[in-house]
Order: sequence, then C-alpha cells, then structure tokens
Amino acid sequence: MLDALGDPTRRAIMETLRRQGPSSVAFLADRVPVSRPAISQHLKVLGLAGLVDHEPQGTRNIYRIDRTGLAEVRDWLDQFWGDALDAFAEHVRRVEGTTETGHTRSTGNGGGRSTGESEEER
Amino acid sequence: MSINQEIAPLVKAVVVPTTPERAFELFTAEMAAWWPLATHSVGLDKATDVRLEGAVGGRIVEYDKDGPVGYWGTVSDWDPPQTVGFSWHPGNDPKEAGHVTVTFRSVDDGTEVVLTHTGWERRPDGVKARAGYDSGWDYVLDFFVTHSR
Repeated sequence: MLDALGDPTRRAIMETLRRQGPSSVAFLADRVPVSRPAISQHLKVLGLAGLVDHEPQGTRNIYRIDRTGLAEVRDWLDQFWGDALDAFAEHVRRVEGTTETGHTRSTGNGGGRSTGESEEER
Repeated sequence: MSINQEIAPLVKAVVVPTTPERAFELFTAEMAAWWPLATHSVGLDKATDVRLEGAVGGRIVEYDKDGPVGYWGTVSDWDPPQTVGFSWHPGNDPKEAGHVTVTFRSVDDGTEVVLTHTGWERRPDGVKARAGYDSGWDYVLDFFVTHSR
C-alpha cells in the first residue's frame, strides 16, 4: 500500500479512470492488459491508499478516483512549498537587512483547492 | 470540481525585499543558506548541505557529512535572473518527476517570487502524505531512503 502508485498497472488503472471516468472491472480489464482478478486486486490496493472509491451498481462495482486523496496531497504540498518559500523570504530579509515584506500566499489556488487557472488540463 | 481542476498546478508566491538578480542568486546559488533542511530533506538532522548546480542539466543534490545523499531533481530552465526550472522527484523515479518553475519579477517593494509545481499528482509520496502520517515529507523521505539504497 505504501507505494500504491509505484506499480505501472496501478498507474494505468488510475490513468484510465481519469480519462474514462467511473468504470467497472470489466471495462478496466479491456483497457489495461492484465486479468480481471488482477485488476480487482490492484483496485483494492488503490482503495486502501484512498486513491480510488467505488459504489455498487446492480451486480457490479463502479470504481472512480477518490478526489479526497488528491485534495489532501495538494494541501500537503501547498504547505511544503509555503514553508520553503517562507524560509527563503526570511533569509532574504535577514541578509538584505530589511523587515518589510512577508508571507507566502497561494495564487489562484487558495486553500489548496484550485479555482480554474489550470495550465495543465489533462 | 473536476479532476483536472484538482490536479491544476500548485502556485505559491512571496515578495522579498531585494532585486530579482539578488533574489535569484540567493534562491539558487545560496540555497543551502535558507532551505529548511531539518524538515525538508532526506537526512533531516543529518543533512548538511543542498546545492543547486546552476546550469541546464545541473542537479539539486543533498549532502550529509559523508557526501551526496541523493538527487532531488535536474535543472531544465536556467535563465537568470528571471526563471529557474527543475524536475522534482525526491524519492521517486525521475521518469515520474513533477516539475517546478520559479520566476523572479521586479515589483514595487522588491521581487515577486512565484513557484509553480506541475505534475505533482504523479508522485507516489502523495499517497503517503494521504496515508495519515503527521508529515507527508516524512513519508517522502522514507520512500527516498528506501529507493536510493
């Protein structure tokens, strides 16, 4: 589970779900070159990692990307780079000898959520 | 909200009280002086240095007392004092790297530094961040250490 995305088949499943939207195991098995049981196993791993969610539809499950996982990753990175840039700004103020300007801000993607402005639509 | 919106580039900005030339120099050549190595590194308290090699193809290298520990990325854009860009893959396969671009622009009260991180959703460490660790970075580091051995 630690490297849920470290497996090429799992990345292919994620990519298919991203491009095709919610999908059944059969649909995924037609597009990712492994058996249905293998697809199911990979989906289980992705589910445990919080990357994929599913809901029953009739006799089968429909799988989709769990957006909560992405949002949390984004929030974490937002803080990571925010901390780094704050440290940078503090250093500049120290070596350049002024105390005027300040803290990092998110541009366009406040609170870790994007609001459009995507330069990298997929 | 669509997936496309959620994987939009992460953008952070800060204004620093100096010229773009100086800001660029401090950011790149003097990275070790400000980068929070104790929390944002592989070795944490054992990390002694980080160097960004200032040229296209240059690497960002973390050091401990025994020498290089690993590479965080490779410089792809080198256009001082306006832009530095690099791949970003501490702990990951470089083929799955995200990409970071940092721009420096003169504004009234100094230099606006804008950092844009794209392709971040490809990072396996993101999963780790999600997995409930206090610090996602710890997770990155574990991954990095494991994979660089």
